[in-house]
Amino acid sequence: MLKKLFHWILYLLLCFCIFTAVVETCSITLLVSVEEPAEEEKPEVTQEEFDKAKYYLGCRLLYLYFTEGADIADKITVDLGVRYEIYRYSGSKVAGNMETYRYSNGMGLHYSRSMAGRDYVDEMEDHYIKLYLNPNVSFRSSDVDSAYQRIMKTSAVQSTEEQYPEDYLYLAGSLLLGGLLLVLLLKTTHGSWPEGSFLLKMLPPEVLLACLIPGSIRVWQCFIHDRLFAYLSEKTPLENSLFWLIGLVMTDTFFGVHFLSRFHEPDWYKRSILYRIFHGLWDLFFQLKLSFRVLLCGLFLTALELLGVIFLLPTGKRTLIFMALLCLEKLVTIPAAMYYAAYFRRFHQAAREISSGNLTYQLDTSHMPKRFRALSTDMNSIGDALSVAVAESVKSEHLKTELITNVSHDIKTPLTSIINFSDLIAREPSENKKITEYAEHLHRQSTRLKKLIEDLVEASKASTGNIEVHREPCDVQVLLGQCLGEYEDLLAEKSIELVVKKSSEPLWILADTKLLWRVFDNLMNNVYKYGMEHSRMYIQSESTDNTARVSFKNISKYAMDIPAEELMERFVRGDLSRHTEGSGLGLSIAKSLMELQGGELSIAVEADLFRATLSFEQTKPAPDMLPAVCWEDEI
Amino acid sequence: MYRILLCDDEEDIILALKAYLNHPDYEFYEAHNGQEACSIVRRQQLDLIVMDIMMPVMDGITAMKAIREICNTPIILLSAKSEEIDKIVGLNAGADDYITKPFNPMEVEARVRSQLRRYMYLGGTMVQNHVIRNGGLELEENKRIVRVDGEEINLTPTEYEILKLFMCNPGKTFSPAQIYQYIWKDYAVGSEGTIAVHIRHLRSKIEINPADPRYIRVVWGQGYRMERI
Repeated sequence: MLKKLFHWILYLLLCFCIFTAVVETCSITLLVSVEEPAEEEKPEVTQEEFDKAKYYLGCRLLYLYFTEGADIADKITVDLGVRYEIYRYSGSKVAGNMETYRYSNGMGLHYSRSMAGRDYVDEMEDHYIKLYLNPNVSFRSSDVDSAYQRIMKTSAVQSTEEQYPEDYLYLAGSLLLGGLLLVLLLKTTHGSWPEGSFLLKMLPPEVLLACLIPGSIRVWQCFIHDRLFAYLSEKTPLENSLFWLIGLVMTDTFFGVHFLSRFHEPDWYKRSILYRIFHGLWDLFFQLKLSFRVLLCGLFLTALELLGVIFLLPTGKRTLIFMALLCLEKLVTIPAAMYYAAYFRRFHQAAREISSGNLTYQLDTSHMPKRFRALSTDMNSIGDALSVAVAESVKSEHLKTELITNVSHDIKTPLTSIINFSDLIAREPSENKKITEYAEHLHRQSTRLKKLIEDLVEASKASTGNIEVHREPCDVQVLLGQCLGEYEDLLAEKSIELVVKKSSEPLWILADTKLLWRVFDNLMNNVYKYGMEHSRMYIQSESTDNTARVSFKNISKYAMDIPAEELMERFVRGDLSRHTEGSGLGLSIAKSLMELQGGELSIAVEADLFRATLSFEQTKPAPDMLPAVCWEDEI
Repeated sequence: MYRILLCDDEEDIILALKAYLNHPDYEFYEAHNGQEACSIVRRQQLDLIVMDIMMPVMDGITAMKAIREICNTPIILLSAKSEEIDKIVGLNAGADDYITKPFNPMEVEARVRSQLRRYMYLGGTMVQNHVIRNGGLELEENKRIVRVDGEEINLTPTEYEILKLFMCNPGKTFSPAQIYQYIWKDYAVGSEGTIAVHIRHLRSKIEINPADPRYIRVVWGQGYRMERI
């Protein structure tokens, strides 16, 4: 609804713009060649009077040609119904409007330029004028004068008109507005509504303000010059009609409202050109070295102070001395400040290096003054102490993992014997059924112990990051498909129905696929182990904001009164009684593995609904893995 | 009569292996470190060696390298080292198979049988036409027969086609979509999910332990690959 309204407004404004542009063009061309031949009935003119008037007109035209230009002469002759041509005595034509009207019996009138009483005779050749008279037209000398006065009056009006070159500005403005509106309209009709307004939002406020200018000037002009009423009451050119005014006011309102609505946005000023320029300069300033910045600030302050002194203090010897002292002071303080700033920068750099992990960074203390040397030695020792601590912790983590791995190797060998012989006892035909049964128990539990040990090693490696991670682009949906293929039968065994919603696009992510498979494996294994029979499991892959997500949802067999965060900790299991097989390390391993790959595993529990979501930043597909195959040729 | 050398520093493991591999056709020899194994190999013609890696005096990998200089008897490594990298090192050093401790007795039996069959059966056969071979896998194209270590197995037409694709291109990774395109000669529009199921079924027929496949490996996130053996 709002969108439709917006469209209608845009259409209306566009129509206005086109209309006003057309009207503008017409009126400008009309004004240039406006013709006002208001003929009046005149009493009979005698031949004598007419001859005198012709002579007078000739003089007058020549005079006007040299003083005012051919323009006025043209208009007077047109007004009187006469045409003229001015020639040099050498024969070349210099002015005239005979081409527009050619009268049948034009008469020549020779006239010497000197008779017009000009004072720049020496520069000019003599001229003569030819008048072409219509036989039906006659006039007196007084008519020539009145015509001259009338023309001068209207041309005065016109010249005031021409003093406003905004006429052309309006034309350009309305064309600009029209174009802008057209673009907006196309954007909004072809795109969605927010896109259209987005374009308006993208415009810097200055441009909007500029769009207001032509209309505002006109309105201002009309009211201040009191011309609106004059134009409306008089016989006016179309250009000044109320219509045009209303159009301008409307476009003004449109852009004005947009301009004003900007102020409600939190970052409205960020789009403005001024802000960008200022911001750019600001950034440039902060890219400079600290000491240069200090220098710039110092110079700026000095300039301000000097200006203050010059304008506020009376001129004289004392002021001069004061200024000299001021300069001297600055000469000392600015270099000192720069010197300190340079050291500050070095310390800052060192602190940043150490905090970002470069613990071996050392400040060069050899050329430092005593005070700074103490500080930099302290900083260096912080770095040293930290690097020792980090090395130790890395070493201890490594040792821990190594210990677990070694112990697990040592445990595995006797465990193998336990598993094997318990199994062999169970298989051995025996009279005593109980022996077989006990052996089976022993075998089952020892097998579980084996699984626990394997998980423990893996969890310790994953959480300490002692696993090599080879990240490469892969389509997570392919992996998901493979994983579902592996688990389909197992889930069917438990009557868990799989509902898969895959994204139609491939989801390319950067991951170590072997580790990612372990994550999928652990999650699916959890569903298999703890999922409720005869329920559905939902798997969804999607992409939002350049993040690929795969979510696993299922119903738990056990009531889970454990917070989601705790589920991911080691040795925590969904069933508190711990009857099921499993180590309780699955989710913890999955979480660590996801973190190692730069992804994230989040878990949510709502009543019996368990949801695990894997999220990855999307990446570009690997070029050689795009599916494009032609089989017949290859096999 | 097959002569099998069991080499482990733990007496218990050898005992258990003997109990599991108990068969009238098998004759066992025992060694407790790599050096003993080597001396037995020098004295005796053997058909199979099952060997631990971590042993005193001489470890399994070194012993295996020494044995490989004498004969090409199949060697199965049996180790507590379960890392991927350990398996790769072992197989690259010349082992024919790798089993991790604690082992599943059925799996050990099956692998031992498989190695023996391959060694005896394939060692004497001529190279036939229309037969594609990879490790213990044989695919006779004109008869549409597939044998694993000389034993014929039943495959569905789809499984046969998939296996043929893999056998023709060992070492090459195919994405599910590509496999679908090849089998059904049609573009895969979200229906490539079935491929994973077919491949799992295929694996359960040709692999001894489908969870740790030797022939058709899953290249996670990309597709499937037949290992060149």
